[in-house]
Amino acid sequence: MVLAWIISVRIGPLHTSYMDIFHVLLKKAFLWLNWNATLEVEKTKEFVIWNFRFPRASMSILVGAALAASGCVFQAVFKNPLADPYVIGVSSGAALGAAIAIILGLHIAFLGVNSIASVAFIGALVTILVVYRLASAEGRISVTSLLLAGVIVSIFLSAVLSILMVFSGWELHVLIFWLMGGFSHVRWPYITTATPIIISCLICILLLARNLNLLLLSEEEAQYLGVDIFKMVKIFLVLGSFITAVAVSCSGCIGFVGLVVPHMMRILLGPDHRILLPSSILAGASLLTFCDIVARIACPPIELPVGVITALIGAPFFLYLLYRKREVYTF
Amino acid sequence: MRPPQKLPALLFLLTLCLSIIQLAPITSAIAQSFPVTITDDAGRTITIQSEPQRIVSLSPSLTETLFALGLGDKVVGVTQYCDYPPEVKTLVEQGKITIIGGYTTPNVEIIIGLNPDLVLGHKLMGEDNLKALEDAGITVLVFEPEDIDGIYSQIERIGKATGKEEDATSLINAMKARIDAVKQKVSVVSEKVRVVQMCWLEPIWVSGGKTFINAAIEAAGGINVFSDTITGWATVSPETVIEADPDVIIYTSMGLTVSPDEVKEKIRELFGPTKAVQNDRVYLLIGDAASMLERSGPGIVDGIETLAKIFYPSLYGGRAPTVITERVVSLIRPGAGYTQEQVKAIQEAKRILTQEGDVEEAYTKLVEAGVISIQIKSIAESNPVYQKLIELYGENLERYPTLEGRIQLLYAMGLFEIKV
Repeated sequence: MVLAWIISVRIGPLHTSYMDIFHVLLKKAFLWLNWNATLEVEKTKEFVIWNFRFPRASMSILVGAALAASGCVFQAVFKNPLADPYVIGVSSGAALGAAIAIILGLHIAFLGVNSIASVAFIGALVTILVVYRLASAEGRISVTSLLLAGVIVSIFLSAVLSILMVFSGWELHVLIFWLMGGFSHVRWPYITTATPIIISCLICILLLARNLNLLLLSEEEAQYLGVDIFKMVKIFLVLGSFITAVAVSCSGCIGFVGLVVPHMMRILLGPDHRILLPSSILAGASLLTFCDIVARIACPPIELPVGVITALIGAPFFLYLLYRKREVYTF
Repeated sequence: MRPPQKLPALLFLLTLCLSIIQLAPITSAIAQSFPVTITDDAGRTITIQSEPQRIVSLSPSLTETLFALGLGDKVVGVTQYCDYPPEVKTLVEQGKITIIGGYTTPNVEIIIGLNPDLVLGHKLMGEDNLKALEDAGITVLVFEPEDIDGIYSQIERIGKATGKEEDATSLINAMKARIDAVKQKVSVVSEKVRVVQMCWLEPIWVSGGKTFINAAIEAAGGINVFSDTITGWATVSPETVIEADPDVIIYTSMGLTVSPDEVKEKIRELFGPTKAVQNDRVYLLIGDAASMLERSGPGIVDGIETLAKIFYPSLYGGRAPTVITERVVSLIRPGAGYTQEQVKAIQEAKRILTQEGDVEEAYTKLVEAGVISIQIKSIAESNPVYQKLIELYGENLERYPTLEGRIQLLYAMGLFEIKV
């Protein structure tokens, strides 16, 4: 993951060396510590490395980790191998939020994040709340209702989105590229806002990883083992959908990572969530960062949408793993 | 002595010439003989039996061409994106022209309902729509110009199809002359300006080779840094632009949702280290100023002239404004002595002239604001002074150094109205 980050920072249209990166890092560290820095880095290189590449590489790590983790969590919670981070409508809510921000030209940016990301985040949160409300009765959340409510709300929101797209006129392109997902717009404020949220949620999920194994047992069995299954489900759903909302708001709808990375890791390392979860997080972060590198350098000077690369690279690799292990694959 | 300044009010000049032609004994128009046979860009050979009287245009560039050929009164349908010349919008509001949808999504039923005898479309209109119109017995010509020569050919064929062959020829010749004039002028530069042209920032969407903007940049003596590496349009990362380090950044937009200053600030933030940002050579072309470069119509010439002014200020006697919203860019700024109100009055007079063509109103505005102090009475046509004025300024009015002076002259010559 660290390697992927460094390579991601190193590679780009402007030629930079590893030393440049090191120097920029040192210089910024010195500056932060109020030391007198005498390091010489070409101004243009410093600008590019510091303002574009660092935030971009960091964001792909964060989003990759978040999506893989929440994919892993949702697959366990729903006991469904097809579940992914977007299954309860987070992406549709965020997309609709983004569309509203783009078409109405809203300016409600907070914490330095642009208005599209801000409204997308609100859209995602509102969707999650609505879906949970629909699926819960007497304080308990029914997983099946949640799945159904999520899918239906998604369909409804997509329809509203389509209507907005018809009327969006000149702004349509912004929306389309947002829907494809990518990191080219990411700057420091995104990192400083998203990092604490995603990292703290990830830590919570990791600490509770043991319980995910129990969720895969029947409810009765889990109850015998002293776990309040409904409480656990709730905690995981909230954490999972929350980090997904943050990730989607920052980078648009990047598909595939959340669905397939947990499966890849399951095939390679087995179904124990204490290992599966951290390994999925690392793999998701590395995979997405790697895909972002490919997106940038595949056909210069054109930049491809990263979601396309994740699917193009990830799908065949996953199929290969599935083919190799088809006899022993258990969910 | 300073050489006469090449003033940019070419639209103005053209309309003036038209007015003068109207004053002179009109040569009888030679009626063009129909039927005519035309091959369109879909490779179809179409015969038009008689002069079309009800024309529908399915793209903004075709609408512009029709109006430039003086066929505005025969246009009965346009797309929702057709906004130039400004009278299109007025005619739509008056109900004389009907909106038939978008240019990729024309509503065939509305078009058929308009009972047109000629429909001009772009290839993007789609084969199904084309077939539906043909099945309804409507003559359709499909165009898809790929370069400036393609625009000439499009104008020529539209002229032929509508009995305006002569107008088409003179329009094409005027365009060629103006482009040649620009090429001639910029040929003296030793180092060409390197340009990045973009129309979006989220994501950054730049033009490469095989686009009209690229052709315009080249004609104006610039180099589009992506002309070899990108065909058409593509997204690039900000650092690609920084690495290319252009001298000039051109940002075009059909309409902004934020203020031009915000866009400039964003561009400065994104491309800080480039020469364009460092030397404050970031130019925003908005609305009409963007469409002239993006459409395959006669406006491309205005675009080329504007770009040349942006690229080589020293050849054009001054820096172009960094935010351009009109097709004709005036480098003449009101003199230093004017008050705020007077500057406003001059801008208003200019607007009245170019949009309404009402010389009298513009003149009155300037007199009221005290910009024009010596009031001139209009001169009779029989007066030798009038003849002298026509001789001196008829075709060269653009050489007159100030806008106020030009309005005064027009007024004196009894041209109270310019047919815009």
